[in-house]
Amino acid sequence: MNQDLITRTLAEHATSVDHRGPDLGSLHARVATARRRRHATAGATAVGALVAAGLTAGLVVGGEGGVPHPAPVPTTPSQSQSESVLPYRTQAVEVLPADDARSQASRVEVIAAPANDPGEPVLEVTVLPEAELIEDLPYCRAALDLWLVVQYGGGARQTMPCTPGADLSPEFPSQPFHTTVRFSDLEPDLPDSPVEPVDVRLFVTTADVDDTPRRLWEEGIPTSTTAQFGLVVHGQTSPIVGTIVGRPVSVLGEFEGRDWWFVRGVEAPTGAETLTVELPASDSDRMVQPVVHDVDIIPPTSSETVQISLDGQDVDHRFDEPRVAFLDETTAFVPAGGPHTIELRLTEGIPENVDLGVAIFEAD
Amino acid sequence: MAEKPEFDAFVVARWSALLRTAYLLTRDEGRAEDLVQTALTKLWFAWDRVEGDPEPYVRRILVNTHTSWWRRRWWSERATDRVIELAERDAPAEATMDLWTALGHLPPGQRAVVVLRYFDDLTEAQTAAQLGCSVGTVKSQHAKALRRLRDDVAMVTSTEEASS
Repeated sequence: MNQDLITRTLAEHATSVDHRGPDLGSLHARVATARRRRHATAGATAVGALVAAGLTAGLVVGGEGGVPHPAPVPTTPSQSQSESVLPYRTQAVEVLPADDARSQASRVEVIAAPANDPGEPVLEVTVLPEAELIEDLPYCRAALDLWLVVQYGGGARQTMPCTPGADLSPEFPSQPFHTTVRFSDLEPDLPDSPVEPVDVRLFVTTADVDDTPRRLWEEGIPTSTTAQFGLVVHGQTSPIVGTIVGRPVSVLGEFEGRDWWFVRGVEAPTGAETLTVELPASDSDRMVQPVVHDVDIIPPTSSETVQISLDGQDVDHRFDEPRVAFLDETTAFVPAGGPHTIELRLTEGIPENVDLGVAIFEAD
Repeated sequence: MAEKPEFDAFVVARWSALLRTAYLLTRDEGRAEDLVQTALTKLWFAWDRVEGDPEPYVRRILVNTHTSWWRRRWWSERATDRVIELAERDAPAEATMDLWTALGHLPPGQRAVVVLRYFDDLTEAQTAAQLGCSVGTVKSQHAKALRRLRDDVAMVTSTEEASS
């Protein structure tokens, strides 16, 4: 590889944005919006502290083995996770699955599979994501000069190239565990939220979405097409065993032919920059997954802002190939044995605006 | 909004440089601007606590935020799919491909290393500091990126055509 060519190519293309000067007005507006959101969150947090106190009192009366299970966070269907209210925690909170959670676990199944009519370049469907955990896999079998665009009601979109050999029934990808709803606008509903139908629009286009402005994609829709495309929506109705910093956690995940069971979660005290968890010795392999709620990021929960260390050694997964359907890249694999000390450390973000937690899964 | 004239001055002075890097990471003008504004918004809140030159700090936010967005599929990039597609393309279609296209096929981490090393002209150590990883990781990602570029069907075809 000619490295001078790389330098030249980057330099040539970089100048193509030189006509876009600094937009201080827009930036100030963005900062002002973020500040308002923070003030709203701070106010809500004070209320949350009262709610948390009430919950704790209830748990003492209920006496669930002395280990609190955070109740679902109060929310409304229109409320995004970034705006949701998380209880204020003065100390770490443990989340444990119910004793009978495993017996109620189910595996992933197809809950919807809309496909385009022959010749039709556009497909518009409404999907009711009734399962607890959702993953949608678009596909497009066609000549190589077509792209598939998937637009969701919430404004999110994804694109993918069509290929002649595309699988018309994509299977649910193997994954370590599935803690996050992935459908629609990528903002997960919390447990007990009403199920809202999601409008989805799919179309094929000859526009190369990598190099064409978004507004021009529709101009590339052919009048008819031989493309076969659609969406396979998978769902899992395993019980949600709790929420960790507002994110639902399922009891069962599958990865490389193994079952991974949620065994424990911990939420750090509000505003904490680190979270240390002691793992007792075990005969089973374990996975440790950070869970983050960041009011600064929409959509929130980007766990690459967290560094995991295992027994004092940093775990570096930042540059792994993307693992399909596995959102949280900073995950530590802990082989059987131990005991171990896990530390999660925020490496980006302002601690007072970030809620930090961890989910621990154990292999069969 | 509280006035921070020094912050505004920094934005005016460094906007273009940040936007160029953001564009090389995102390959889309609108996304690049969004990325820079997001990073600068975070910087605004941290402004009073940043010691010394704020540029490394904001650049680190820039790169990490881009990686975060990419992994969340908030945007449309799916590099692994794209590479599979390229491998299946017929050779004639590849004639139009070039290094810029091939760079777009790199995963965000590798692309960030290439941009920081070859465009921002950072050393391996500086790149590691910027990305918050080890020098060894930068080296391995750099090597992987170059290998991937070299093996990219687009580049193979371009090279073959150029030599024929």
